[in-house]
Amino acid sequence: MPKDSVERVTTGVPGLDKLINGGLVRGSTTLVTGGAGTGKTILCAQFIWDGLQKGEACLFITLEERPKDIVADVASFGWDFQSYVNKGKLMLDYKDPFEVTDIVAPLVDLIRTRRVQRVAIDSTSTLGLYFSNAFEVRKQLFKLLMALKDAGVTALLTAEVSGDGQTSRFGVEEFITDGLIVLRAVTMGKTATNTLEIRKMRRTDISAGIHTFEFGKSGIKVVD
Amino acid sequence: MVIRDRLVKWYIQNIWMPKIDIFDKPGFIITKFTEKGRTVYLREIFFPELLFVELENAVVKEYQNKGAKALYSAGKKVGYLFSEMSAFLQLESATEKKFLEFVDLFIKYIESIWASKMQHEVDIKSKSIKFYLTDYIVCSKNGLGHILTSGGAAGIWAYLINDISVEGVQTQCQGRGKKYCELICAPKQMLINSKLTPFDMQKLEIVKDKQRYIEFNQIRNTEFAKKSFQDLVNSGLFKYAGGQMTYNGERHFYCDTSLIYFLELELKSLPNSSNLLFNTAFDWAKRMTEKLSDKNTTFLTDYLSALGFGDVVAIKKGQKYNVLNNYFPWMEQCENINFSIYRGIVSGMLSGLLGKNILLKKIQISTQTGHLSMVLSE
Repeated sequence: MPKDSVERVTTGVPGLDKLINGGLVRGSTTLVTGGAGTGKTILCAQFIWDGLQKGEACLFITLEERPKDIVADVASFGWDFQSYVNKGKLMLDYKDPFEVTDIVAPLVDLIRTRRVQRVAIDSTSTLGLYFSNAFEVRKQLFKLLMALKDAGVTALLTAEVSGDGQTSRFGVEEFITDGLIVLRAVTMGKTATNTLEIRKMRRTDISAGIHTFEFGKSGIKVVD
Repeated sequence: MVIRDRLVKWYIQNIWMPKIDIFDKPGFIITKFTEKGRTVYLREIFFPELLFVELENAVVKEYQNKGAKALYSAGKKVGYLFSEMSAFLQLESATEKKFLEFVDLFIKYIESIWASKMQHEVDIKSKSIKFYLTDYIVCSKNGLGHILTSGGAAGIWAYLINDISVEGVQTQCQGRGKKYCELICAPKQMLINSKLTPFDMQKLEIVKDKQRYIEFNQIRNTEFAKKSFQDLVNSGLFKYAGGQMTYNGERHFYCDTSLIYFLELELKSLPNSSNLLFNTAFDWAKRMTEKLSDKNTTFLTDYLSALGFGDVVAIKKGQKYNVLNNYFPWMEQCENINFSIYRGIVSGMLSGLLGKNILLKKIQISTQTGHLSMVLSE
């Protein structure tokens, strides 16, 4: 696939960038959806690790796992998040769904003050716990995504879906984000296969179709 | 009479069919209505006419009269099963007047989906019906006449008059130069008395466990298929009017799922029939996708799912391709066939799209999750 003039941000996932013209559009937001255990968190962590390797300041907001668990989980791939936290290059931020009422304002503050270039939010599905009704969730999500765009960061957000054809939890994220990547664990006969589909990516000539990926020692790798 | 016929046809195409046909669910083509308190639920597909022509030609060329008989038998089984599943009005349960009215309406329905013009004459006394058909599916294109479709008409008439000895004989053929086709369905002895030579096929089948059939074929949300038949009609890719669909100028006919099952089952006893069906379907599908300007395997998902074959996706694993198919139209005979035609279609399409031959010769099927899923692999 030919490269274009749009500035791209590598994902750090071997094989993925070539499916999207060399990477995510700088300043874009991309939603990664999939069922439980399909690799959403790993993909986000890999994206953040890639940024750290390139000297970028990164922010990883976790709404499900505690930072120490994230640090321990990704260490198995050889990604030493803790050392970057210590250096101040990585902000690992946990939001307790039962205590936080506004994640947008502090997020924007962090991005500005720490000159963050990459953001991962895992997972937006938990936002449902913050707000009392679907309308409020959608409103806040919209606000969040707009804030990320205004801040000019390249962001990955995850959403857990049930696996019956849904591509977002609240039915709005997929329309607001610039990109949509769907991860699946597909059972074929006696074996399970992990698949990745680029459903949309603005300003990008995407490689349509279903691609397979593997979990390896260094994270996720797109095979085909 | 002409005005009345046109009105009836208009009513069928514009009021009745849209009411009973479900076209807006990716992976599914369903006919659903209630008849005498019973829910009629049919899993249907749209089948490419040219592929059907090539299958009939190949079978007759290879197996001659044995092949023709197998095609006819498959058709009669499909027609009978379809009628029984549809709970059509039978002669014995209605007055003659009511029955004839139903036949009139039914023929207009058949005309809508399978022909450009269709007329008929019923003789209740001799339990016979004569059809005059213009541009009836397949015949005008194969030069062989109706084979499977003669059986189909015989199966339907056998059900309507509740006499399984009914057979169908084509007496005039548009595909061999006549202005229209003529087909007679009547009890076998009557046909013989009229110096006609019908096939003899009286082993008919019905769906015994209808509740199970409905459960296995119920509409579900598809994971990969996102475009329904209706979506592709709305987008202009499929041209659909009054029951007839064309894609890239090729007519696709609406038919019961049992067609793909009975076709293979009836040919099973003939040597090498599985390969013949596979290869014929493969050649047709490969030619079809080679012509496409945008060659992406997502075509497989969009096209086959829209035609009613379930949730279809091609996945490359290593250097080889697998095709995963969930919610494939289920029939209890699924354990007895190896889906040669379908495997041929999928293999041919992938080959045309990828520019190299992909032969999906292996198949694993599963019904454990309450629907029919299959994995086709090289």
